[in-house]
Amino acid sequence: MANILHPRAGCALHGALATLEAIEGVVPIVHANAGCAIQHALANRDCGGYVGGLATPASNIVDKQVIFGGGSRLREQIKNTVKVIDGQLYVALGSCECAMVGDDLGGMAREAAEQGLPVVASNVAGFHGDVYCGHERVWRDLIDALPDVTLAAPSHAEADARPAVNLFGLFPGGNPYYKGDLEELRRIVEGIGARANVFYGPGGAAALQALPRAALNVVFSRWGEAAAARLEEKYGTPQLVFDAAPLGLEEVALFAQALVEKLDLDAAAAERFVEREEALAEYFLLGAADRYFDEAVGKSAALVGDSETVLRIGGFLARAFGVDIRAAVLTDRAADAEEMPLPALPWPTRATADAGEIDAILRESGVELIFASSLEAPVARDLGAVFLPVSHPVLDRAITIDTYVGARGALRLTRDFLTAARQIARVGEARLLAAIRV
Amino acid sequence: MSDNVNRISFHARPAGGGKPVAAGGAASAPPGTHIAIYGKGGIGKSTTTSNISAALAEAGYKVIQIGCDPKSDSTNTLRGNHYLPTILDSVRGGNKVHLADISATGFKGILCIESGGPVPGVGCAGRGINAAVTLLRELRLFEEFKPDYVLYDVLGDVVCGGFAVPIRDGITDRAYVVTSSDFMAIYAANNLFKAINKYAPTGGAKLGGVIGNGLSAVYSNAIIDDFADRTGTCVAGYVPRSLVVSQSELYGKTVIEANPKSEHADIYRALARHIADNDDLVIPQPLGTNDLRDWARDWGDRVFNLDNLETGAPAARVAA
Ligand SMILES: Nc1ncnc2c1ncn2[C@@H]1O[C@H](COP(=O)(O)OP(=O)(O)OP(=O)(O)O)[C@@H](O)[C@H]1O
Ligand SMILES: [Mg+2]
Repeated sequence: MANILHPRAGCALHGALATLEAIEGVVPIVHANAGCAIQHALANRDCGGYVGGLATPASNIVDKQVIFGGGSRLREQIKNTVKVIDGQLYVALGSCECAMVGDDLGGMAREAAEQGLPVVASNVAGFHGDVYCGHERVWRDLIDALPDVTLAAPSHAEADARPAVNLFGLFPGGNPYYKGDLEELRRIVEGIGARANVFYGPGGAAALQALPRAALNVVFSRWGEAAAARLEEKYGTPQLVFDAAPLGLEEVALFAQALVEKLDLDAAAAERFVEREEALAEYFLLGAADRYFDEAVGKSAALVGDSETVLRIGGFLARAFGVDIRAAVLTDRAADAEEMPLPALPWPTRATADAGEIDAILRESGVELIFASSLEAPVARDLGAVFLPVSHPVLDRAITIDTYVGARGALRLTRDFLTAARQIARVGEARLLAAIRV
Repeated sequence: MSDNVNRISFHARPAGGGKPVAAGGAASAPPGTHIAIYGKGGIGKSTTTSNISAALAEAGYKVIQIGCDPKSDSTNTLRGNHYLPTILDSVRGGNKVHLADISATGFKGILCIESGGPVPGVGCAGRGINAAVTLLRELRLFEEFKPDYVLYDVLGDVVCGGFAVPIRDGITDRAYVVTSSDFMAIYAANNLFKAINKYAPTGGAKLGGVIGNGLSAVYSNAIIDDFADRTGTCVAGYVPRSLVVSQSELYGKTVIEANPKSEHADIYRALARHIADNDDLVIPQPLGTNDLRDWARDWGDRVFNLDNLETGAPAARVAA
């Protein structure tokens, strides 16, 4: 019931849309009823990159196309989109309606490709599953189609001797900080002597085209595993699979070491990079220690978000600040927990996306800090807990290059955590003062 | 999990990393020659397909036959009429579908699979066939079994987009159509030609040929020859109507198995050989609705004359 009232995310089509919007130079073309694309735009106010959001090309089919087939409508839409939107790659996304009536999406894309247009198709009918399912599917179709498609105006990668690394598993529709997170990962990968091939970032389309030539696929969550497996199958690219992106210097060091070994990089240089990062972090954290001991010892927290976010942020809070994590809610694993076991976490863990259940879990937990999405902000307020937006959707905060990954992400999370602790302490002080005055 | 994958956990103790969902979809062409058999309802698709499968298996090939028909009776004669749960039965059950639950090994090792479908009158059978075929790819059936030939026995008329799935999306690369010399059977064949004609230019299947079946009249072969000629296709074989076929079916067997020495068994063997060797695929030129009608009327006249010749009985000529 509660899930019906407050769905966290959309369907497979929306997952594919969120993915493609994040790749600069890629233009989604939605072949669906009027309404499918707008739902996604309305639910994700910060969505839309190069193209997308409220400006998403769509065929807006009606009864006529359902009865007689919508192939020619899509053909027309592809033709017109290519004319008015400058893209390097166009992806026709199929919907429930077009799957039900059997529109030949692939055929339409091939037809366009034969005319020299960079068009691929992906069947992401909403009924196939949730946003994560759509994310996996569209990646699979991109990987399968790309070798045969030449992007319009490909930017030629400069000669670069450093081995390239594809980064998978941070899903733009699930992690609101993906842009900043990926920038930080790029900084680290480059710091230790490799090159990051970042799709969700500037020059994303060119990164797509370079995908098969990478020396390594790094996976940060379950949602990147299928893509990496497909790439290994097709190109033999080895994989490095983490359960989350690294956060904090310890994890950055582990990450660096794994990359050095897998890619045979200069270990000493990588070590020097990590040491510099450590020194820098220390410099910034020096003054924070007193504050921590005064106000932030023994805090309790609950986390709600996709499993990668919960693992990453929860792990850091517990390790760095001894935060007592009393509830971890994995919102991306409710549908497939049977298919793939949940990670065994040292905290009370539940996999659900149901707003009512999440509400109950949070009320039960009695925590001081709630790291979650804006959907949980009201219950946090209700409980008098401090709310920190870390997972999708984040509506209370505009996001630019903010990150909770790597070395810089650790500094930022430290700042947020200590600020929250300060808030809690203030409330405590005020209560105390009020009590004394009486 | 391959040696090429290193797993590193920052957190806790990951419970023995399960496998990510196998990626399906239209990757590189799966192993084997994939052949779709179409034709009007009741014309003999399943009978013919099963006998071709049996003949191919007898010749030592690895064969899969997939019934793409909610009736799920395609492979009956290959496995003695035993019950076989369909793919969609298993999907409906809601559990994870395993290949072993939805396949049976029939005559000479032929792997038999039935897509099944919704209850008649509800749901969407076209979507069902589509989902079933996709599921087989996701289960990596073809990579595991490594067949030489995969035959898809697709139900009757191509009534909607869903039923055209086997001839587009790169699932099969060739289709055969079974027809008798009856007008409605030819009409259905012509409709299939329209679908092939539509999808072949964008990577859909092409036509391998026409299979004449249940032929009994003296002029039957000539009608089929002429239709093939007009549509720019060729005839892969002619199977006369015969009691051997009916009798074998009653025993729950193909002719190849039940009456291996019969003349019909050899007819099916020859047909199978032709299909195995034929790489001459064409995009048929279907007749327009009026052309088809004119063509039929023309044959009506000829058959009338022929009948008169044979029986000598004066028959009332149908008004032109
Ligand atoms: N050459 C033949 N001689 C005699 N009987 C035949 C011949 N071919 C088919 N039949 C009989 O015709 C009937 C229908 O055949 P079959 O089930 O193969 O048709 P179908 O095209 O698969 O039908 P459907 O469209 O219902 O799936 C069967 O009883 C079969 O034994
Ligand atoms: Mg049949």
